[in-house]
Amino acid sequence: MDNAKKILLIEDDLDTRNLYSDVLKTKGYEVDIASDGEEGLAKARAGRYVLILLDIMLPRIDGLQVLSILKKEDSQRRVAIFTNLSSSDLSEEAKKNGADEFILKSDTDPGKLLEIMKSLIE
Amino acid sequence: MTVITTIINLFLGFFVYLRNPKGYANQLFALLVTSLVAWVVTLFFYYRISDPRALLFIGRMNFAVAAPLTYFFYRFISVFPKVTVRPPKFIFYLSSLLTLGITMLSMFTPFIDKKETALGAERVMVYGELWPLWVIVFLANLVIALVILILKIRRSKGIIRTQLLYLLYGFCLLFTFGIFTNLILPSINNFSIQQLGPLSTVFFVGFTTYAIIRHRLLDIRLIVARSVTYTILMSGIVLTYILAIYSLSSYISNYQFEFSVFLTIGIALTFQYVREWINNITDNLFFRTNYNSHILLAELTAILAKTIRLDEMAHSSLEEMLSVMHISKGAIYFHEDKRSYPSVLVGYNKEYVFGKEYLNTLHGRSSIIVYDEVEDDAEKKMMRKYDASIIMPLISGENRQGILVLGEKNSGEVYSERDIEVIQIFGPELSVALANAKSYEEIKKFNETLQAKVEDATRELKNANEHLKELDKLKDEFIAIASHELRTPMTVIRGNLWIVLEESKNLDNESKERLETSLGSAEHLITLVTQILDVSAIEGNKIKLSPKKIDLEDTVREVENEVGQLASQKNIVITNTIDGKKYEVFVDPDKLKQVFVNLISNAIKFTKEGGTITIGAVKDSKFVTVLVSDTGQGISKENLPKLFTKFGKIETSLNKVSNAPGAGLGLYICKKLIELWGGKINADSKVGNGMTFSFTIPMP
Repeated sequence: MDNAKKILLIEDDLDTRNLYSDVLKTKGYEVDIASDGEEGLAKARAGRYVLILLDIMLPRIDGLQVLSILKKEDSQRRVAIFTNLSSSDLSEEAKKNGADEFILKSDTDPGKLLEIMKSLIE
Repeated sequence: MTVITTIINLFLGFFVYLRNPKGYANQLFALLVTSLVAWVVTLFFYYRISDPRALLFIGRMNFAVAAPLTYFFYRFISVFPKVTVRPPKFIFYLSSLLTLGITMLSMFTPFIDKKETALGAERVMVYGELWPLWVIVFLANLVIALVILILKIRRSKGIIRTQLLYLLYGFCLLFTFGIFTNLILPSINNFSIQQLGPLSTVFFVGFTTYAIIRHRLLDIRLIVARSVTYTILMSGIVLTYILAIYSLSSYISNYQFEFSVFLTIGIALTFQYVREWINNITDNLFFRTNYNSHILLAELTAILAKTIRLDEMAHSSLEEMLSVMHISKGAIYFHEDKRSYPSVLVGYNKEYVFGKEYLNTLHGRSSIIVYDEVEDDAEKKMMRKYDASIIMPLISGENRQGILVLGEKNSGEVYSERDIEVIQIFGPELSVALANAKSYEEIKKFNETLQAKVEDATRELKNANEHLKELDKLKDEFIAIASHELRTPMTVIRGNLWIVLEESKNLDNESKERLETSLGSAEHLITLVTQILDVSAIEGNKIKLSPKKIDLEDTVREVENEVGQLASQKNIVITNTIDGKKYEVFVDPDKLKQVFVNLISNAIKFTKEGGTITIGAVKDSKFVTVLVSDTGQGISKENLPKLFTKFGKIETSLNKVSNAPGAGLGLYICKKLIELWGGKINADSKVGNGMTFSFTIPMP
């Protein structure tokens, strides 16, 4: 697998993590996972990912903070917020903090997610 | 002189008698005066008759009529104005008997007056053997009378005391004058005015008369002051006239008439000023506490007009009254009805509080109560207890405002007719003013209470509002978290179903169908949660619009991409007539997209396989109207209004036509969002003829 397909999934809910990790793996992505904000930050710094999928409600450091730190360190990093919190305020704040996309899990079935990811990576 | 004395005395005696012929005191007084007059008359003839027999008769008669004088005086003193001192009964019997005895003895026997001889103008008499008895009885009666009088004076108060004092003064004058004319002057060989002796009786009778009839009629000092004024004035005028004529008579004898006229005019012109001047002087001499009642009333009225505050009004007017009328103390006692006001006291002790029982007895009174005229003993006692000389009920209309209480006058004098007039005029004025002030204070108090109540209510509302806001916030948070927590497992279910359907190659058809149904239901559930959240946001006014200038075409294209797959699954063609045309609108793009997605997915749901959905637009000056039509079953006109209600899904053949699920919230949300941006939505349909939705979007 080439490095170009390496994805970091930062998600605290085990079932969700397993689901999307499986979905992505079936489509040929290499997936690293982190289950809280701190771990996510550490993995993002250590590795090179074409896309980081970032949940908002996370233990220790919440997703929006992680996003702003990551974007401050390197604005070239691609980060998509991937959450089930639907709120126009949140999506606006995320965009302000540099999110490349705000994806609402409930609105997006796996097929759609893959489409969005494709368009982001290319 | 005797004639004048007789006439005056008789006149006064009758005057008193006629005022109350049945009164014991009046009768006794008439008897007393009659004996006095008889004595004066016999004395007159005694000095003018020289016939020895007649002289003896007159002389004896003189003793006889003089004998009961002091007896009548004693009897009169006992009963006037009321019997308050009761000497032992035997004194009365003994005195009556002895007096009758000496009267008879004087008249018919020589034991008192033995012999009378006339020597020119002089008279010589020889006293009888019982003469000392006559003197003893006469003096004893006098002593009893004086003792009773003095005891009565000591025991009485107010006007009765004054009345009795007048009696004493009159007696003292009589006594002094009698001694002067009949004892002192004869002793220095001056007999010239001995016969003036009887004149002194006029003083006594006059004073007594005044004491009897006095009933707030006159202020004696006023009479004295005015009499002195006029005496001085008249003497002055007469003197001026005489002097002028006398000194100038030699020069003006030819013009005497003209001069008189001139002088008269001069006097007439200056009379008024001179009179006022002398009035002032005599007022100051006799009448230090005089005041002008008109000025006082005017000042009191001015005080009432000056303030509306109850306390101030009561206090100032009371103080003014006390100071001008020279009254020691006063109080205004407010009537207690629903509210009680503190009483206003000037000069009275702070603990001065009327007992309830007294206020009750006062309740029935409507006119002034003057202590000196009160008959009822209980009431008198009460007034003495509270140190009140005057009680004026304060009544305005039918409402009792309270009472005005005044203490003694500084001089100790009784209240004069004028004082009482002033109080009677001012009382009602004060009552009305107090009533107004009371109403004012009540309104003020009411206002304050009202304001306090409003403030309380506002505070409570504020608190309630804060509480509600807090609850609202908690509710919002709850809904947000709850929907998040609901969505998470559902997305997991959906995702997993998706993977199974996507990746498993060897599924049998039945299993695949079941999995697809499950996936659809999961989708439905997720939509439902999202829509409920939307409705909650709409109804809680939580939707914030961020309108932008956008091109309608772009949004429609995005929507087409989103729902395209769904349409093609059912082989439905979407005809977009907007493509290539420019419609600029001013709207929140996300919300516009939401409305479009909702309407088009709805249309897809209710359109049979192979149907068509058409999207079009027209514009006028303010709005772009978008039309979304389908070739579905449509609904009847009467069902149209139900479309946009919450859960207003029509339970007709529609649902049979399509097995598409729906919560019945989509159109409701669309309507609310469109209305939020100031547009309108309409639906038009005929059963079997498809459905057309039209909605408006504002232009920039």
